[in-house]
Amino acid sequence: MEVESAKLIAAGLAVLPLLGVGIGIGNIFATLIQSIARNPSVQKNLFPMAILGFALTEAVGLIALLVSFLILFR
Amino acid sequence: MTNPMLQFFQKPLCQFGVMGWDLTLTNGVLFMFVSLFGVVAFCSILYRAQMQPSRWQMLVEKSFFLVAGMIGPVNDQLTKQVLPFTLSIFLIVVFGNVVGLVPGAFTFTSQLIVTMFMAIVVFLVSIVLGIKKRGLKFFKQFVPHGVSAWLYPLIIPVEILSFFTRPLSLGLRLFVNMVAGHSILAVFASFIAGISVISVCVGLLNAVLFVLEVSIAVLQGYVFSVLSSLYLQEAVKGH
Repeated sequence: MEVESAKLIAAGLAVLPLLGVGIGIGNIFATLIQSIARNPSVQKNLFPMAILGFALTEAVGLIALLVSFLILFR
Repeated sequence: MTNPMLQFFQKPLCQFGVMGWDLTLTNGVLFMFVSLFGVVAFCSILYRAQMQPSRWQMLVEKSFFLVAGMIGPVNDQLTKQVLPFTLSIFLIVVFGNVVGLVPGAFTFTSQLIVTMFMAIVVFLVSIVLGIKKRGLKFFKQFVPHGVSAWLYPLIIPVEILSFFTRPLSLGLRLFVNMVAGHSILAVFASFIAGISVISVCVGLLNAVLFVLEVSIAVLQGYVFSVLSSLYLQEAVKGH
């Protein structure tokens, strides 16, 4: 296989973790909506927590993206 | 397509050294000074504080109480001791990220050495503060409550390992967020070629991504200071 095409395939494979990140972010916000629907008075406490969890989960996806960029452009 | 990683290389602006010390002014150092002056100017608004606050004064007070609320009650003794440290970390990270988003500017938080240095400083401060406040009880945090004794050989190494990977994840997160965000902007900008419908659409998409990047820049500063104050709090007060 040519090195260039192998690089492209590897860069595509390297962003596969985005699957899990998508599930995780969806999970966070689904749970946030559910808990606010059950008890609207906790919204002020829960929202920063949800944003924190979102940022932590998103960082995982960004690491995968960075690896993909490194394979493509290094 | 031009290489989107090229924007993260430091270029020397003027080279000089003192007594064998290399004090070259690179663009990273320049923008570090710019954001440092930004932080000082931002905080010195409080010298002209009024009873009826201006918008900028409200922003300073908001960020003060935001960072203070991460550690605990505002008039707590630990908060008073630790707040200058976490507030300056929060402000320098936020200013570095936001200044780096100005077109043509350099993001110094996209350098691994900068973010790892900040994370390691937070780590060392938490260890020193914890040992100073609690003495040998500090090491009790490696032994979780309610675990039967025959699990200790398994649990304690895991706890120690997770304790020492904290600065790694803290520094790496900020670095990766900044590098990936700026690379995405550069990659999408390189899709714009000539004047066509697709170029206009990609340009608009890039503008939306830019707004997202601004919010991520502030959010990452928030996350960095939340986690560092969490570590400090945990070291001083235990689980």
